[in-house]
Amino acid sequence: MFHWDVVWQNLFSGLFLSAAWTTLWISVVAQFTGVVIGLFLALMRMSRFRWLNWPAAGYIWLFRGSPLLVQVLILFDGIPEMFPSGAASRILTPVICVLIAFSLNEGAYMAEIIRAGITSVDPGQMEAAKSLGMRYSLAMRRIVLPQAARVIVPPLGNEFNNMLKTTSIASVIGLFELTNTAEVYGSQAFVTFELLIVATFWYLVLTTGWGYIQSWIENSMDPNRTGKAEVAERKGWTERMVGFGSSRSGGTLVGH
Amino acid sequence: MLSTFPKAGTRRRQLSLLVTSMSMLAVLMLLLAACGGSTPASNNGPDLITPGVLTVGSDTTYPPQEYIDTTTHQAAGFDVDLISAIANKMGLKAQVVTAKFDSIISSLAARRFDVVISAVSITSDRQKQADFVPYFNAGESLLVQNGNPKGIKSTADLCGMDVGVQNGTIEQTDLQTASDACKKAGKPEINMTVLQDQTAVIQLLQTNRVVATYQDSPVTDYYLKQNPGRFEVGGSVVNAAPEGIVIRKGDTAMLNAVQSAFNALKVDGTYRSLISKWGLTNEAITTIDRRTYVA
Repeated sequence: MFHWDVVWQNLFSGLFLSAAWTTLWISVVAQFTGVVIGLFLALMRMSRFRWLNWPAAGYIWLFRGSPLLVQVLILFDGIPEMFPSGAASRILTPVICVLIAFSLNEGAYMAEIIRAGITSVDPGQMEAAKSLGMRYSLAMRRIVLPQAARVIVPPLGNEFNNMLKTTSIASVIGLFELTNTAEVYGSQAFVTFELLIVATFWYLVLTTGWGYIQSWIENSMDPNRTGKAEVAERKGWTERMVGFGSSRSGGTLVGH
Repeated sequence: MLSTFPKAGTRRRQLSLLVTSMSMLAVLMLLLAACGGSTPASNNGPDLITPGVLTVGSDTTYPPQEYIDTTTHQAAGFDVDLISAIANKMGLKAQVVTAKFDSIISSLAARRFDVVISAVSITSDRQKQADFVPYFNAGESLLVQNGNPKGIKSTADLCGMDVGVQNGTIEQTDLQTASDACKKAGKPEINMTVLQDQTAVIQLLQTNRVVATYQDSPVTDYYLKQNPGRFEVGGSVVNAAPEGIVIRKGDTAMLNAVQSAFNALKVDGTYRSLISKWGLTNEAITTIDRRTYVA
């Protein structure tokens, strides 16, 4: 039997608000750290020095090649097993384990995304900057990365959207994010399904909110904003949803 | 040519969109239909998911009652032996399916298994969801570090401490009650770590993440025996209550078949021998008043 009243009671309850907050802040912190790690890894990976290039490649290989769930369990169960005094357990609390595992893992994925972004910028840009007397780091900061950012942001948005939902992995070590809250509080009164609906609602709120922020970022980085708005306006509904259908104009960038 | 008939072109595109979405829908429906397999009804005996096989749901992280034997990779334990013997008496073969404990009764209602045997304590809340054939008595007890450094004698001593417990168990409910009592008395609440597997809960104690874990007394005793000199029982066994084989609500044929098979095992001595095989002498059920447990 499905209890709609349980859904309404819990939809905006403090329990789920705090669970949604936990999910949000863990995602933001892990994603931010992941981007920072990823940026340095990408630069190392593109370096012609072997001792910079190889460690980065090894890191990416390790973290992209093993499941996040396993990484979380190794941190939570494995490492304290090696140090039975209990010190490792006190340091590696569930929150810390999740933040470390998610950040390190995200760093590996972001490294590849950022590398792709930097590679997409015409090498002539770096040459031109250098010929104007800029050092590598300055040219990277002022000339290449701002152009690469436009390529990086859409997949970064994807990554963060994924991150918001992947935090559910933290439920295996008892962290009270959305999924675990629904499971633990639902099992006692046999309302797990109802509370999972509530959790789904909050995941959708978070991902939808992020969708708006992402398009705002993309728009503010677009050098010709007016042109972009025009295209969006001229596309029919079906064209935007499924990629084809009745279009009111050619769908190409016009009027600039 | 097409450009002179813009309307026709538009319509064709809309039509192709319609066709595409309809075919997508059809594929989805097919997938859904494939998921919900039908159950063949048989005329004699209980309705089974697979004919000739008693499909049993069990959370196999709860030794000695149910666990995966690391050498044979098969489900083992007192509950597993008992349900296999019951299936034999019914002329069936038991097939144990590992399931998550916190949703095991919902999964039974959703026909993922024919019956559940998983050290499920009979509570009035659970009796609203399913019917029970009581087969065992178990209490609750605390497992603590060797020497009991925190001097834990009961759940009342746990205020402000880290305690591990499995999700969906009566121990979880009882710890919540104890925690509320702490709060009422002006003491800090119990800091519970609630996990899905009992083995993961014991792991919390092994890595010093918690000072105690709370589970059924046979399970406490099992881990005590398995790790000599490492753990200790904190206080005594409380809330001894019957555990039951869970039968889907309204499945009277199954309830009667399992009940009479179990009664036969008690009469022929199999039940006794299983109890002593698994070292559970104190927990055997001697008298059973069926009416108490069937709503």
